[in-house]
Parts: sequence; C-alpha cells; structure tokens
Amino acid sequence: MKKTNKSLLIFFIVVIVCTTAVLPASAHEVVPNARWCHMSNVYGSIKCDMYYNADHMSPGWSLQVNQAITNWGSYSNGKVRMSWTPLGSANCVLSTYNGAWPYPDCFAFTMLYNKNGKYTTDYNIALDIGLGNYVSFSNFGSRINSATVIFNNGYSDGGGGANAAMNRAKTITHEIGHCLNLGHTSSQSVMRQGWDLGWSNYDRPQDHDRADLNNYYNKIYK
Amino acid sequence: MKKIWISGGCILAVALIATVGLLNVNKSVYNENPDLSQKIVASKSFFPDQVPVETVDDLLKSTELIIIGEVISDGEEEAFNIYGSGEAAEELANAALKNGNNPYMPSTISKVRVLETIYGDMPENSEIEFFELGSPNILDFQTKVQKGEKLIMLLRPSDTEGMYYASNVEHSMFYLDGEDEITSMSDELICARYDGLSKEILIQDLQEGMEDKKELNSLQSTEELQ
Repeated sequence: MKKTNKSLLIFFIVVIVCTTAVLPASAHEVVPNARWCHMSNVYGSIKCDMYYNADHMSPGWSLQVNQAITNWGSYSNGKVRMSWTPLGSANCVLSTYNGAWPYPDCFAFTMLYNKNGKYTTDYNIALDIGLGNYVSFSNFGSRINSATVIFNNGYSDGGGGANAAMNRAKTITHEIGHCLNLGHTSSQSVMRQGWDLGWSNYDRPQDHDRADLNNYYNKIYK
Repeated sequence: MKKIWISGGCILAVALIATVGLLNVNKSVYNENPDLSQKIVASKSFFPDQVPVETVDDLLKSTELIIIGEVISDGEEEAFNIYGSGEAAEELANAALKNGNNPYMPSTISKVRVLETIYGDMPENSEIEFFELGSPNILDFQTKVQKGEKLIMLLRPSDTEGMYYASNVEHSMFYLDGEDEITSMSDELICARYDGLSKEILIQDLQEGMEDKKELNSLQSTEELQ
C-alpha cells in the first residue's frame, strides 16, 4: 500500500514537472497563438516594433500617452520599441472617441486587425458576424497586423479615479498590451484590470508581462 | 390574579407584534434569488473591461433620461465609424481604410415610442431612435430590443438629435410584461433583483437615485466654484 502511495506521488510530481516545462510560465493571450507581426532581430534580440499614432487623442491624454510609451520602452526588457509615425503609416492607432461614445460606461477597447483588415476584440465572440468585418478568434489567423485602441473621453466613473493621470497611463499601457496579444490576468501585471492594485507603479509592465513577452516573441513571425 | 394574566397577555402580544414588525422591516422587498439562467447578455463577450455594476448609482452614472418605451419598429442595420463623427474621425477612418483596415462596426437603430417619462424631459407619445451596437437580430455586441417589447430604458443622448444609447448596455434595460412586472435584461444582481416585481419599485429607486445624483452634482459644482 505504502509502495502504491509512493508511486502515485512520484507519478504526480513527474506530471507536474513535465506540464510546467511544456507550458509557458504564464499563458494569457488575447487571440490564442496570434502574434504581433512587426518584429525585428537586433543583434540576436527579438523586438516588437510598434509604429504608433496618437495625434487624435484628446489633449487631456497626451502626457499619459507619453508615459505609456515610456512604460513599454523602459520596462519590457527592450522587447517593445514604440515610435511615433504619421497616421497613414501607423500600425497602432490610439484615439479618443470623437463625440458621445455609444457605450458610455466602457472606458477603452482594443481592436486587433488581421492581415485581411478584419478585426477581433479583446474578447472572443464565437460567431463571425456583422458587415463581414468581425472575425472570431478561431478565424482570426496567427498574425496581428495592426491595432486600434479607442478611449472614451467622456467616461465618468463617479469619482472612482479612472481619469486620474496614473490610471489613464495604466489604461493606455494596458490596451497597448492587448495589441501585443497580452490578455487579462489576475496576477501582478499591467494586464490586470482595475486601478490601485496593491503595488506601486501599477501602470508599468511587471515581471509577469515581461515573461509573457519573452514566451510569445522568442522568434520572428512575419 | 386576573389582572396579572391580562397584563402578561398584553406584554406578550406587544412583543409578538414588535417581532413580526421587525421581521417585516428586515425582509427585503427585492427578489433575492432571480433566475439568471435565461438571460443572455451579449455585451459581456465584447466589452471585457466593463466596470462592475453593483449599485443603483452605477446604473445611473451615465443616465440622463429614463422612459417607459415601446419598440415600434424592427431594427435597421447601419454602419458606424468606430472613431466617432466629425473631421478627425473621418481622417482616422480614411487612414484605416487606406491601410486595408475596416473602421466600421455594425449598429442597429430601432424606433421607440415614449409611453411615460420617468426622469428627464421627453414628451409622451414622442418617438426616439434607439441605437444599439451590433447587427439586428444577432447576439453580437449587445442584446437587441425587439419590435413590440415594452421596457424601462435608462438612456443617454447620442450626437444625433433624437437618437439615444442605453446608458450601460443591457444593464440599463428592463422588460415589462402585460402586468407591468419587470424582468431585467442584465444578469447583474442589482438589476435582476427587480425580476418579478412591480415596475413601481424600480421607478421609485431610479427616481430617488437620479435626485441623489442631481444633488451630488450640484454640491460638486458648488465646491468647484468655491
């Protein structure tokens, strides 16, 4: 009996070790197995290149956009390089909504475009619906060609702090994370939803995010 | 001896009445166990970054108009620019199109007749256009209203005159049946707790909530002025 228990214990340990070795340390993707496809190899180091344009962000967001760009540039272990580019050549467009946003209580959302110009959002809808533009995760393909993030400039959370500078910076950093296919998580991560998350600099990418980026972007996807 | 018995009886009766009264006070008027299994909240699959809706104040945060309305037309599909309207939005949409990205999303526009205005300024029997995200009759971005349905609707004006959005997608919509009993479209407990109740209970809560909001806003403006 004791022998059986011991064998079982060894079996479980082996299973756990193997599973941990095979699976990435943290798998929180938006679209399973899709990758931001603008990458470069700089002396053996793989970088994600984001050519962003935020010319149409409302003035009240400009400083926070710069903060979010710095956040990814400085705290992604050099994995993410963001550079401003004119609107026509941007692969990541950040904009506040012009007018009354149809979903007043939504603060921001991200649309990921595949190589055919069809989009999916940061959550899956099983159906492929609506004017032929939307694709579900399963039909999205493996390359994220570009992304658009829309912020609700008229968002009011009744004094909950969403519009405080650091929280806006966190929201922009978080949405850019979605563009890189980082999904939500409950770990210590900039991809965790909410504000005042219990650690300082919660607007910046954390170890968890760097680990995800290293797992996802360890080779060039074109 | 007889007096003692009568006094004792009185005390007991008073205690009994007080206990029953207290129990009634503590008993919630709301439906504490609504059936959520039949509710389909399409927006939950599309907008993951929804702010939790936990209080009546959360429901009313973006609300400017509350009506009882009847849907009098089938929804018509219209594409809308994800960047909004105006010159900047056009520029963004053109740039997206140039890069091969489609900047339009589907929306559904239905006509609603105002049967009663609960809060705000809207003449009865007037008609409004009601905007929902997604295609008609498809459970995509928002659960759509259907022709013939009667609802309590928490609304916010759009940029187009006479057109309104739900202030918080499904959480702002409450179906009314023939007896004017409520079934919330949302599966959030703060909404579903009105299921099976008379519309008056919800209306009272909404009106009180809007008055509180008005008071708070005026207090905040006074503080800002000071």
